[in-house]
Amino acid sequence: MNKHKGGTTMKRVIAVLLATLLLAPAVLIAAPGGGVELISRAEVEVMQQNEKGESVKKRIEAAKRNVAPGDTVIYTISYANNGNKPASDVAINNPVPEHMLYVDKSVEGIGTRIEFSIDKGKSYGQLGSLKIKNKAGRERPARGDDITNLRWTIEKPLEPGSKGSVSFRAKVK
Amino acid sequence: MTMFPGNSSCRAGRSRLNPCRLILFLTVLLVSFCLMVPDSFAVGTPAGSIISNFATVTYTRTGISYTNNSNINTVMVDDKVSFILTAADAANVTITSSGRAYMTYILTNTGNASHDYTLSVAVTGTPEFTPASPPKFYSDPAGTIPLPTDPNAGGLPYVSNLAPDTSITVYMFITAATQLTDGQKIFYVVTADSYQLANLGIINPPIKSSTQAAVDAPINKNANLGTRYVVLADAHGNGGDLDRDGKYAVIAKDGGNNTIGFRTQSLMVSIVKSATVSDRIGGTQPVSGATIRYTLSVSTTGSGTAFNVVINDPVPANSTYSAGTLKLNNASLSDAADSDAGDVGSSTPGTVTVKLGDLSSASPTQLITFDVKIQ
Repeated sequence: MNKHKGGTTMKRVIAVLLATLLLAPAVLIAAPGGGVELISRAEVEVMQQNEKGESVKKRIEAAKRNVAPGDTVIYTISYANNGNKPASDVAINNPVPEHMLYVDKSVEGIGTRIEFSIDKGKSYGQLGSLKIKNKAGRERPARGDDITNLRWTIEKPLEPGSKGSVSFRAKVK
Repeated sequence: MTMFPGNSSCRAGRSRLNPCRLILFLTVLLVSFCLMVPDSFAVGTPAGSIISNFATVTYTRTGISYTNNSNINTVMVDDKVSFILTAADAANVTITSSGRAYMTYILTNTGNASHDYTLSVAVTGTPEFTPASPPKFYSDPAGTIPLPTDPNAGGLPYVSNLAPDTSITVYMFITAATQLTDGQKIFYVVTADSYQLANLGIINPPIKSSTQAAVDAPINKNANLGTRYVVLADAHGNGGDLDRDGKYAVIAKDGGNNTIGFRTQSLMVSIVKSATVSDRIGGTQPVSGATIRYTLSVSTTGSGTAFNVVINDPVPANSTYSAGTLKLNNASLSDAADSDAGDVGSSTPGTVTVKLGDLSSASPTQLITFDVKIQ
């Protein structure tokens, strides 16, 4: 093998490793194919008229519709164990996107333990237990719009082939 | 491979480290950073921003921890048209004869992109007087810099490129006719129109509103806006416009919700002259040697102030002013031109002159008296 070429490949691997470290400092091993996989969907609710002329809510893919400040986006994360072995300690983490605020009480996740972070994922807790310090050093309970990350921990090991979904809503600032 | 249909460029890269997906992710991240504008306005996420979102899963399998990212979904932030026009005056604005006066309006962009606006004005209610020149908008309270006009918008004055979360104050001037009647009013409705649409040459813009309980009709994306829509999210003013119509119309009101506008101010000064004759035999015949006492009663009607009022009354022909008889409000004035208000013949030969100074609607009636002797 060409020595020079090998060096370049090595540099690339190091660069990718560094990037991975920066992006996901807590977990070092990327999932092998066929593990637990996620699909994230962003949707908005619009009013549509049905054949009876009644106004009904309908979900539309957000990318097809765009958003404006004040609009709410519903994020749904579908998970599935596409591997052939059970997965345990399955935790799904979704940072509240840039330009958005988490809509209080909008999180859903059947069969999961739901926790929140107000410090970009350094620590997690129940919403009621999280406290925010204001500039004067006074503490107040955290609100929905203080949330920086959401975490769903699936309570039971995820058997091969099993799937589910979790969701939350966020409002465009 | 069921989880990522359609992502063909990354399909092969399901290795422990997935450089392909990582690069895609970093690219999207980079693009969204590049599109981010400093978070300086309170109003909203800037139009054209990309909101991207992804989730990460961590799990343990046979004692080893793994992580996996979801796809990244991105959403474009539309161009939100939202603005408010406020009338800043708290009371009627006074205008005097041949004068010029202005009303003040504040236009605030509460949307998420720089927008252009036209301004138009119409009389509301029944006007009680007609200005010598119709309202015109200026950008300064001295009324020297008119707002530009744009032929694309029918020659209307306009405000261009008003940044989000900023305001501009505009001044609407009228000029008055030479002779006003006091206490007459004229009211205006001023309308700001989101000029964004006309400026882009869009006659039927792609308009949508998520708050509008309307049919989600297919929207034609307009080339001028790229992938963005214009979202009309403006409220309505008190001037008869509607929510989400791209307009904001305002009629100035005072604290008691009464319509206000321009009000004329004009003070009329009137003189009533009377004469009393006393002849030398105790009668009232205007014969030679008889004395005539003239009384000039000067009064005001209307409002405002008449400045430097001077009364001139020539001594009639065939009569002679009786020295030392000039009085103002029963106080004697010397005949010479000096520090007191009156003189006879000095300011104007053969004429009684009394300088009354400034008179207002509150000034009491001024009484000037003097005697002449018939020759």
